[in-house]
Amino acid sequence: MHTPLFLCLALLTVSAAPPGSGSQGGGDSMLSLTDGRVFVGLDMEHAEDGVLVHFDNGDVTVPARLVRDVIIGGIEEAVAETEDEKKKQEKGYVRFEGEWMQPGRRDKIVEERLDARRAEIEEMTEHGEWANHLEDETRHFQFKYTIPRFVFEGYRDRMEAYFDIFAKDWRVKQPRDKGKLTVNFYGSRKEFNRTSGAKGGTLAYFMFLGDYDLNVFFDRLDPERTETIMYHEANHYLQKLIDTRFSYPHWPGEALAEYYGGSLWDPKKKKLSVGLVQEGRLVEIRSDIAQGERLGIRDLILEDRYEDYTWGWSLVHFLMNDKRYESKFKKFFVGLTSDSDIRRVDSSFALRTVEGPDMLEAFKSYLGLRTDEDLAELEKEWHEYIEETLEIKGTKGMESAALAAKSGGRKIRAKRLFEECIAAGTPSPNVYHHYAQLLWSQKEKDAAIEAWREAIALDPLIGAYHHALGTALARNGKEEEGEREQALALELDPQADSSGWSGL
Amino acid sequence: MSRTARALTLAVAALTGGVLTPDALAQKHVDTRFGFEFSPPRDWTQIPPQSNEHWMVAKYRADKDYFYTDPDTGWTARHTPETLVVAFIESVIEGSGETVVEEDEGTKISILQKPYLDYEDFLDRTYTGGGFFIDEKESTEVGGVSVTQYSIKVEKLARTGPKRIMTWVYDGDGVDFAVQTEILEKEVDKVGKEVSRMLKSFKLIEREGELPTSARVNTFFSIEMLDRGTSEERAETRQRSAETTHAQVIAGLPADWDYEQRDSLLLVYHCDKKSAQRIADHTEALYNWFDDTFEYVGKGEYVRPPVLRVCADSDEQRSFSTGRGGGFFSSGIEVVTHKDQGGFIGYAMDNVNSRLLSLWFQDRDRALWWAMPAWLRYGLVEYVQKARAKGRGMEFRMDDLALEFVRDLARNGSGTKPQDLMRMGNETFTAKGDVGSGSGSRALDRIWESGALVRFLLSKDATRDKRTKGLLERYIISLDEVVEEREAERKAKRELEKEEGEEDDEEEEPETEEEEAERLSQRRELWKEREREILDDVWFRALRSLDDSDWERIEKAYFGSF
Repeated sequence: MHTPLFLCLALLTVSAAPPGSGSQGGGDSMLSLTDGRVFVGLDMEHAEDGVLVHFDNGDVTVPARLVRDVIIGGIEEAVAETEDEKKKQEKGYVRFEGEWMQPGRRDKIVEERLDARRAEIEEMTEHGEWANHLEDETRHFQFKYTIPRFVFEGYRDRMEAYFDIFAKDWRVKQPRDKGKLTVNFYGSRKEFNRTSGAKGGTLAYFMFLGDYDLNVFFDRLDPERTETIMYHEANHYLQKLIDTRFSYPHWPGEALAEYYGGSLWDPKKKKLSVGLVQEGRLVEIRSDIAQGERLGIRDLILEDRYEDYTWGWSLVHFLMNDKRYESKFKKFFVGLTSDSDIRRVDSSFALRTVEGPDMLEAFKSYLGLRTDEDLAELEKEWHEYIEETLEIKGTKGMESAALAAKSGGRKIRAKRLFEECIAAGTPSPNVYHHYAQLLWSQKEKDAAIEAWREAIALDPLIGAYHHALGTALARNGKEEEGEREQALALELDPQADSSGWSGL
Repeated sequence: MSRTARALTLAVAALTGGVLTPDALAQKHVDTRFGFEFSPPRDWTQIPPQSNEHWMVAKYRADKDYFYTDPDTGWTARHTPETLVVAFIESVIEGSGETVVEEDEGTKISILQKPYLDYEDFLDRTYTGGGFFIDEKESTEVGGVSVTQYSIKVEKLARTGPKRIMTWVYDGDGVDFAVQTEILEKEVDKVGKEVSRMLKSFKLIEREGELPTSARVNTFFSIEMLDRGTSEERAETRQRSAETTHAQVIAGLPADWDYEQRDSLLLVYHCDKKSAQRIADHTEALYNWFDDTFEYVGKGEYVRPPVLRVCADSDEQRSFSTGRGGGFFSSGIEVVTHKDQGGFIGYAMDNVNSRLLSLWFQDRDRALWWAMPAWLRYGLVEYVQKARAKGRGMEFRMDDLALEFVRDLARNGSGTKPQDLMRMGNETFTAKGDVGSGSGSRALDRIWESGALVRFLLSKDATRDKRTKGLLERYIISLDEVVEEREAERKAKRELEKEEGEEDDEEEEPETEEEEAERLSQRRELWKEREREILDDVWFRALRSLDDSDWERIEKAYFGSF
């Protein structure tokens, strides 16, 4: 069994190695993926478009775009093709990663890399469980983590940039008595649920009592969602910095968190853009509109509801993106905690809050809405903003909407959205996996099997996909291939049989 | 325990395959069925297993409470160390995920066995004391037995404070035993020594008999089995079910518990006899009151004598209740309570009453109980909760806060009219409403109002007025008729479809997104529509003779009754 380990490895991309130049791996072989998984001791070789891995139950080709680093044990002598190369070979030179060099130099490079990886493997083996987590500290945060260092470093930089932007926009700073916020990153669902105490499918939570802390599960199958939810939950902490004794009502608290959840990090420029369109939320709103449902401002403010994440987010997005309202909304948000004209009441955990009717009055007052007609006019502008200004540009929104439609039993709608996602070139194997499940449930067995094959082509090292494909094949008259795929799934992930077929 | 009681316990234990036989004199827990013994810390109390427990084979609770004060919030929480012994039977684990089909008179009943894979899996699936991680894990040998020693820290979301779980897993022949103790982190040095002594005292001993071969250790009667057949057949099954449960409960009693078998119930207790018997007497009186007041409900149906378990205190009750146990739709008949230091009028008895009401109604007419509209179900519970046996009768007090609330409503004319409450659907009943309600929750306000309405309808005042005399009875009988007729219609329709060969015809699938959205919307609305139809139908049958002026008089009498 090849155990995936989370490791941090030096950069060496597979594209540097020419096709066919690799040889069978062994104890020194190692495959590091961009999502943090590392496989050691695999039997593999370079292939035209990536790395070909030989498992006991079949071969899989790992696409180059998934490979962060690869070492294939043993060194195969290159074949000289030109006169110049033949001369170099005669002089005893060898070709390594496209460059001709002395064998000693090549051996030194390989040995150094292997040493570095061995050290890193040792480090991550030692710190892979929460009892031995790694720690780091930055200007505003104390980090604890069991995810690969290079993955963690990206999140560390994002969190600092995020803090700076919010602190500047809202003029907040960390209270001295609380110190730096502890942020915990967990590398597996099991470890996250176990150690953080979170239940079900929670991806992150902010603990607002005692010593605050933020707990985040790094879902390597959906890192974008991990990032979005991290920003959302971290925003609850940042809102606390306005007044630690105040508990923000569901709207605007969740809606502002969702607004900041729509942020995007540029790793090259190390720049964070905030307040982007939450496309999944927008798709949900558009769906409501298509069914003739439109929420009003009064509805959002007076009653806590799920739509605070969708319609509520869009209201905040509208106000924060309109010069006429941005400052007023911010003052309203801060004023809820401190304006002596606003009635505050006791809330749970010895905190204070504002109830709906008082909040509505405050909202009208801060936004300069003197009459019901003024409120209606603002509402009209907001609804127009949703329909005319907010746009869906990528496939992420469609993907979220498709998944939501599938889990909500809207199969026709889900199928259309999945197909639009695929037509738009989604890179997500998860879309194909769920699409396949949907097709299978609708008795479109051959199409489902093809969709699972597509999912595997996009990420061939996910045991759950192989197991689902194997089960489908076995039930569709291809027992031998099906059983082989199921066995391969278990080679990749011993738990694959408990997750791959679920959802059907 | 009396000599007779002890003898009976052992006899029952033998019948059920042998269970715990702790030796109190030696301060040693001996289990010959599973083949282990250990010495729990001195003065720790043994907690009996639940009658439907599958995995836990012993449980002990410390004799002393410990406290943790959160440095940030200043809140103090109480914690009582507790030890569990969990048995992982290899043959059961190997059958993981298999569906066991029990054949019973031609009917197949499927039971999904989903055993724990090992101790860590057990911890992942059952531990609710907060987020935890394995701080240390070491394999060693103790007394010739392979042991895995765990030190587990509970830090995040640990509501009663940071804790430590000390567990040793002993590798037995065909069965592993995990002995797990939870203590507050700040008490590890003190309590940990006692726990270590206990862990070192654990020994494997010779087994008498075979290990269970199923995750379901005890005989199980599902709701389907209990409700099947004619009234006589149901009575026979239910009698068997009650006798089996009683025997299992008696067999599982620790040495320092006692019991009293009555015709009407089984009383098992771990407190003074007088207090336990008072609760048992009350239970009998309340069942008699149900028999008299609702004699028209499920006439002739056999009501199983419940098991009334009276723990020494609330902590013991809580310890007893942790574990697998039964779910919301449990077919069990056990009522667990404790000797309430707050006295006989406390909330412990409120909960006993609620549970008894549910047990009685479900054995008499389960379909009626589950079909009750919100006002009736909550109203009955609210009314019965505060019932207390007094002399030869029952006294029905009212919650002080609820009384104050409904009086205010009556004074300011803002109460829900009885006819509106009786026609209110569940969604409206439980809907969140305006801020500033009496209880802080509109749903609770309506529950209080429902309790007041049931109280009024059962009052002497109501029986003196022709408009309200027998109104509740008419309503419940009509509801029962409607439920039965609808069920009969459903069955007839199914039969007809079967005859016409349409049995397996599935509903036509929608072809467009619009049709699909419409279908889902229709389904969402369907249950509301059915609920509305039932409410309207019952209203028509039971109350159509009352006109507006009658309802005005009823309103006046109802609000005046506060």
